[in-house]
Amino acid sequence: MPPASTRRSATGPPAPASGAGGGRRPGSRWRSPVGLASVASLLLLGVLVAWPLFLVVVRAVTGHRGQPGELGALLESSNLEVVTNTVVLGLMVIVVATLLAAPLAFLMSRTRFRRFGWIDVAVLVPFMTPPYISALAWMEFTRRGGLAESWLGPVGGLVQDVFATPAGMAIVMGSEVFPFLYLILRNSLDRVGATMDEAASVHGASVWRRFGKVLVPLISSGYSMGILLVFVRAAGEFGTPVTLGNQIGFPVLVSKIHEDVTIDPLNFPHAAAMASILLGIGITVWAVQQWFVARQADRTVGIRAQRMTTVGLKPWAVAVAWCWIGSTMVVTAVLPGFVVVTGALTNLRSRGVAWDNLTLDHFADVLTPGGGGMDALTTSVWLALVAATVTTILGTMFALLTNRRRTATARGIDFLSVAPDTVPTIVLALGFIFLWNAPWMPWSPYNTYGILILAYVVIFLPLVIQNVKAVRIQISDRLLEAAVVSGASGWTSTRRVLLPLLMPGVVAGWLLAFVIGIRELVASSLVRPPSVNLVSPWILNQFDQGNRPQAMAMTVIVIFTSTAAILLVDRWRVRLRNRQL
Amino acid sequence: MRLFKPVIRARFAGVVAGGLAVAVALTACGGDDGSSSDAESTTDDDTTTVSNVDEWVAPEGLSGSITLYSANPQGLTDELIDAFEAKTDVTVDKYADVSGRITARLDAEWDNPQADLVYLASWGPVARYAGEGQVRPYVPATASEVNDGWSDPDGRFTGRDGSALGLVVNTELADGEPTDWADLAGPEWEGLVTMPDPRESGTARDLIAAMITDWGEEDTWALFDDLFANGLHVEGANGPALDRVLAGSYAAVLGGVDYSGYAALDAGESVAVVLPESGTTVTPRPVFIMESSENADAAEAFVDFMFSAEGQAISVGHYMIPARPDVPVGGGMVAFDDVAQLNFTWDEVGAAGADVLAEFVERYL
Repeated sequence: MPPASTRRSATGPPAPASGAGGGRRPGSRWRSPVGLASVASLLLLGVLVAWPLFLVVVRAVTGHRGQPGELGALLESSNLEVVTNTVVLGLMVIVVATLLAAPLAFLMSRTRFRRFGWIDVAVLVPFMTPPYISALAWMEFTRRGGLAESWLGPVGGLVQDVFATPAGMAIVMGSEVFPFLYLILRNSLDRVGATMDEAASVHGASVWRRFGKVLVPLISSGYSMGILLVFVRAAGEFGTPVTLGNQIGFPVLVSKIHEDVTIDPLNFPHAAAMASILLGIGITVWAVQQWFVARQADRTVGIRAQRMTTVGLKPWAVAVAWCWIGSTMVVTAVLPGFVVVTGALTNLRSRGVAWDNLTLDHFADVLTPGGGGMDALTTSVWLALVAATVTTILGTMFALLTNRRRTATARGIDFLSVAPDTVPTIVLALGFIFLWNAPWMPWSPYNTYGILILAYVVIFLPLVIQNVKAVRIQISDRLLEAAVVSGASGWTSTRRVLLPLLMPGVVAGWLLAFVIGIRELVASSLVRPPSVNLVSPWILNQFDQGNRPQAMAMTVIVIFTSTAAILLVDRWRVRLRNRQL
Repeated sequence: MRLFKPVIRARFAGVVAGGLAVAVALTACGGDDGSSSDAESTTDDDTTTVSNVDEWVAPEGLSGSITLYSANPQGLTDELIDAFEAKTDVTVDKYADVSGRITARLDAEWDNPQADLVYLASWGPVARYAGEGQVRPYVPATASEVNDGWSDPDGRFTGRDGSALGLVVNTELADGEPTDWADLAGPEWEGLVTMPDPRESGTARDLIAAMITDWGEEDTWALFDDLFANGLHVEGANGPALDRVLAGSYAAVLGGVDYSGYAALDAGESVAVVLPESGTTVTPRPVFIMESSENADAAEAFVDFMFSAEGQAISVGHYMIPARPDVPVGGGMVAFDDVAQLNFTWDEVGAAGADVLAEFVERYL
């Protein structure tokens, strides 16, 4: 179906209530199929998300393999510090991610900068980098005698000092998650057409007033979804806390959990108790965000065909914008990328970065068939493709089912689909093993590729759903009502009206899921079947065995592979958007 | 005392960059891509080793598959598996990762174990599994020949190769080579020494516990007081600590694993490995069969193979100290009996570990 015709056909032709979008209307005869789908979805999420999590958390009470429960751990006095650290770090990451994402999103959506499509791709580079790597890259850059010292002199010292604080952690983690916030914000901005802003302008509102009273409120729902995820991811991601964080002595809940489950003697019950605190924080933040979105009411857009607005920038503003884009790129991509590339090309570590110490051998090592590297790459790519696609389908369905519905089922779906991000993936992975490897399980995908796909789907869900919802919330239900009035069936209006409008969010969600899938580390390490090689565990094992350049070479290859995939999809996405708008 | 001389470079020159590395690395060496080449090339270059190793002969009638959970380095494990599969009809499925994640997975699979065989880099968790009845007792056919202290007294598991902890020194940065731990408290080493974080590195924690077992608390803490007063830096696991020294941020690792040092040296890095005079630890890497194994015959055969002269030579090819003293080490490596060792047992160290770590963290970190 040509998306170009969407708007016109939407305002004109047929349809009864949209099965997926119009659940809000009480008394609609389509309510019961929606209800049925909702219950089925809730059950599915119950098995995929709630059950594994429950099996972990319950171990805080019941203990695990002879170890007693650790409920007492909830009352440890050190928890206060650790919880405070976790929250403070999460908030700092939000600030960093917003500073990085918001200006870029504005420039790319509202100004002529949007013609630089490469920026969209460059923004995603940090997302393609396997976890640990950017933290390691920054640690390498700022280490004693490292590049920061030798290139920047006294400024290098300053950089070292900053990175020895929690702010340094926030910068690394913010760089890692900002692409996600960027995509949500840019999609939100794209959907806010010119009309409202022009109306305000015609009525004499100043630029700042238009920004504060029109633009910000219109995108605040989408933004709140973005930062919800940024916060919970920051609280649940352990790459940076266990590297940089441990080094500077800034313990957070994840680093405690990581210690409990990987450092002998293992203590699952204690980890479970800590995880339940994290889960509690996650629920709280989610509830606050729900309350916020509910308050935002129906401030939606997209009733009429929208034109894209373009804010003209004065030459000085263009210069400032370039500086800002440049700094963002340097911090998030160029610098870590430089460290990774030089690491991959360096022959002898003890001779440092020098022209006569470069070699391409490490790339050959990685790509040699039979060495595991190539194998890991192809397996990760196809698993990511499958899992991203499955997640996108499920996630879009869940997002539509929960849209502006206040039923317990809808809330349940909504929470469970964000819950995977509120706990560290390692906790989720353990829960997966507890559940799918249970002796009573009659049939299980455990020890097959199926378990990886299942795990990936759960891990990707929050990203996909938030992306779809951020777009959905801005699409006026009146469009669907128009379709209904015109006699379209629920399916028709969903397919011909809603889905095309949702496409940018859906594609963005798919893209993020795919990119993460290639480089996902924790679940990939823990639940992968024996004899299955995957990219991130492979990279980390290379580091562990002292094969640093091979690890770096693989990182470069992963970034290039992901970039190639993104370029393909992004061209398609841009075409889609241009046809629509 | 200079235990390790740069001469080794010439001897091992035929072996590939990163000898302890992935099988991939093998191909980098001028198209030589036999998976057994590591051990063989060692043989070519150093006539004292491995050349006339008796081939292990598999018992008849083994079939099916076994699942092996193996800690790094993987090049070594892969070579063992390839050789074993070539001799039997058994398929070996390998789950490879760092010890921490392997134990996490074993613990999570507690109710329904999936592994037949487990090959870990540390003693403590294995002793714990054995104590909890998860281990199927098995004494490999050649167990009488293994290093002192490497067999579980109850015959449940055995260390099959290991690594000594020492001082890995960046020879371009260091003023001369140290010979003992205490040397690094001297002024010429001020601010130049790093150590793996015992919270992340089991071997570092075991080293401190072994020192305390042998020397007593007072002397051990006195040593570390001096070292920390001299600016000892603690960071990361074994890998990163060595990396910082190779990269030149520090001049020496205290408590670095010897095999990484040998591998780096062999790759052409400017390092030296020194095993301290006053004694250190040689950490055995134990292997055990899971109680739940459904193909125990094949698992036992694999263990036997691991302890055969042939299997042991594969470890030597990856710079690991073999469990059997009769299997010679490669040129430059220090054999088990020649390492000055602290006086302790692994059970003592395992029992003291947690308290020692707590005290260490309390005092210095």
